[in-house]
Amino acid sequence: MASVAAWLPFARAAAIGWVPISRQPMPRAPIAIQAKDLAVDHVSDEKLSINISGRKFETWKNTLEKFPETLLGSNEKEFFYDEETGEYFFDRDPDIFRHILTFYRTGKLHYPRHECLVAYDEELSFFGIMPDLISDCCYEDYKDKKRENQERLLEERLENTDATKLKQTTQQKMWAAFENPHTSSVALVFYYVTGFFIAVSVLCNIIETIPCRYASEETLASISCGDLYEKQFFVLDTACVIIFTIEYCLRLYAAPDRCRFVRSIMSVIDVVAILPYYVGLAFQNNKDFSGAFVTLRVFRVFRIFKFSRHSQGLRILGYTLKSCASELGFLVFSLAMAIIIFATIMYYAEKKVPQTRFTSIPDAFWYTIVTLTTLGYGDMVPSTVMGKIVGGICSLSGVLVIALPVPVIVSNFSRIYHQNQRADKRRAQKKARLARIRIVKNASGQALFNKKKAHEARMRAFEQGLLSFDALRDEDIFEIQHHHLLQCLEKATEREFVEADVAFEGAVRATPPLTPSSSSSQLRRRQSTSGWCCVKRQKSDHDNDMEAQKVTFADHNQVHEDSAGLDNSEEKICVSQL
Amino acid sequence: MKETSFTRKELKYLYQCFKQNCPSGYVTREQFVMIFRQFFSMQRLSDPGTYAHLVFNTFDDDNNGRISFSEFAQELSMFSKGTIEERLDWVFDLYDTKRREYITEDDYQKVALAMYAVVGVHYWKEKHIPPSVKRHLKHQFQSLDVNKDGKITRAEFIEGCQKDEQILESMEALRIYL
Repeated sequence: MASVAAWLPFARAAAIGWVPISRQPMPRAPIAIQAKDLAVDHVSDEKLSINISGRKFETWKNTLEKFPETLLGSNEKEFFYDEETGEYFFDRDPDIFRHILTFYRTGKLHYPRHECLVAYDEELSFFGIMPDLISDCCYEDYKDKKRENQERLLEERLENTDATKLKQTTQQKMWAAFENPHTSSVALVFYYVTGFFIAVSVLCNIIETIPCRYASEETLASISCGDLYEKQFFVLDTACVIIFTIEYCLRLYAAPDRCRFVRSIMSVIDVVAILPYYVGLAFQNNKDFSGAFVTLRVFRVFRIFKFSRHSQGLRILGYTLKSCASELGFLVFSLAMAIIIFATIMYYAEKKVPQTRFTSIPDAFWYTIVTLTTLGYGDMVPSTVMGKIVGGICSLSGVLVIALPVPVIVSNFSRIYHQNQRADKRRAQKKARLARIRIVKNASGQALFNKKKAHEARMRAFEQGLLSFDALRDEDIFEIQHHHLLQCLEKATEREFVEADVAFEGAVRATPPLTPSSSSSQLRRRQSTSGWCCVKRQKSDHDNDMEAQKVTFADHNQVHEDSAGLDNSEEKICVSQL
Repeated sequence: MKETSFTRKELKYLYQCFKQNCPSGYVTREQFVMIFRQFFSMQRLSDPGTYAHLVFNTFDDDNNGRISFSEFAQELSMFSKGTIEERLDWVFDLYDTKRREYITEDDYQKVALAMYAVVGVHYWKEKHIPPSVKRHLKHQFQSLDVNKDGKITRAEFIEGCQKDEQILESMEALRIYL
């Protein structure tokens, strides 16, 4: 690096210390060293002037040439040299350029926190500097922001793929309906029906165990409702299981990747929810298995997990727990340690007490857990003084140990929850935002179209000799060529670019094409050829013959389709975007 | 500028580079070692630190752990424009780490080890040094030690070096040009 060039003479000087002990004579100094004059070379260095959007920066030429692989360090900057003013002019952001120049000066690239990551990245890539060169002090910041940005992009991309209106097979439509119930009303109905049945099933489970009637007045034995109304409950259970089975089979059919679906957690829950019923059916008459059958009924409670498809909050909770796995692991581990330590001490402290409850260390575990979590049931209490002291310390430390990892989990949950909120909000606002953007773009598209018409008129007048050549000097050569290009495209595709109305406004204005007969006839001919068109569209009924059908796209170029005299036939509409 | 024999331009250049690298105006020991490392780190194991420490000691006249610009400029002017005696004087200072005004074989060996460390050849213990190196060092030492009392005084050193053609040539080759 040139900045240590000053120390080079120093190093050479220091090297003479080797001389007396060296084994061989030193090689001769190269002639070039004697000829050049290091100091003069550098002090008479040029100063370069760099003009970034009006803000001037000046630096030594040597400073820039420190990094020859970048734009400013190589000859590439000559492309931007302005002979008249003798400076290099770049039409970029001056605030970010400050950091880039500091990079050349000190060799350290800093990332300012208040700058947008995308803008900064663009500037870096323009000047040919790798983002990896960001120095350690700012690198973590940069990486964090980059990760956030990528997550956001991923979210947007996922949303956009939802929004594409490609025709899907039945399977894909079903899968989309399952995943997002708001796509169609059928999906919504299905969503609510399954939710209802899950609730019914869970309620049945609960009510089954409520004591309904006492067997007889003397004994206090109770009969639960489940035994009393066994048939009714069985019918309800069957209905629920049938619904769940149908749902599972439909999901299995609609899944794009069956293996992955089968392995996913939700499908496992589904299976666990309905399997006990079938197992119970199979082994109904075999009394040996009745014990196991009863155990299997416990698994019916897992049906409640099916609600996580319906509730986003539950999903977020699950996701949070998964992402905080390390904190949870730490919590569990430290708790286990504390339990073992305290239980051991308690056991040995209370061992000598007669009739003590602390008969073994695992017995003491129960006491320790109850005390650490500050529950304090009171079924086991220490009697010795030592035991009481230990018990006191135990409860105090319990509060601490549990309180430590909790904020981490909470902050994780809050972050993920807010991210989700943001995504939902963005989706909701997106439609309104896009609509507003479309209006503005149409206005500018309108202006473009008007300009184009005026330009055409002028061109025609010029050709007919009405206008002189001077009048055309005002025309931008770029515009002339652009319009000519559009005209070529029009002629090539035999479509006319006209002003079209914004679709959601609803008003349809029919503008007659320039050559009605020819274009419509050619259109009819084109219908038969399976040409070069992109989007198939079912034509709906239109009353007027000459009514124009508009196909509007996001950008401001629109295509006008003349549907003169065509019936419910499928049209092929060509889409072009410039 | 009076003490050094640099021109105005040279001094300007030196000061600019000095200040650019050490904004505080002083070079600390660690910075010095780092700069040395930038020049001499050819291999993975090379450690110019020892040698850098030795050099730093000679430069730091007032022993305050830092080199100011005036010290820096003065020493550099001595190197570039000084006489051979002055340079030999400096080499003597380099070897004479304990400022005892004489060099023993130990000192000699220490500098040699530091030099080898720069290329990555580390001799951690006395017994690791190969006998050929030892022999060479002994020979060099004895050729300078005229009165064979095991010590080389300053006068002996300078005289002895000036008689040695090889040493003179080598010093000339390492002459610095600013």
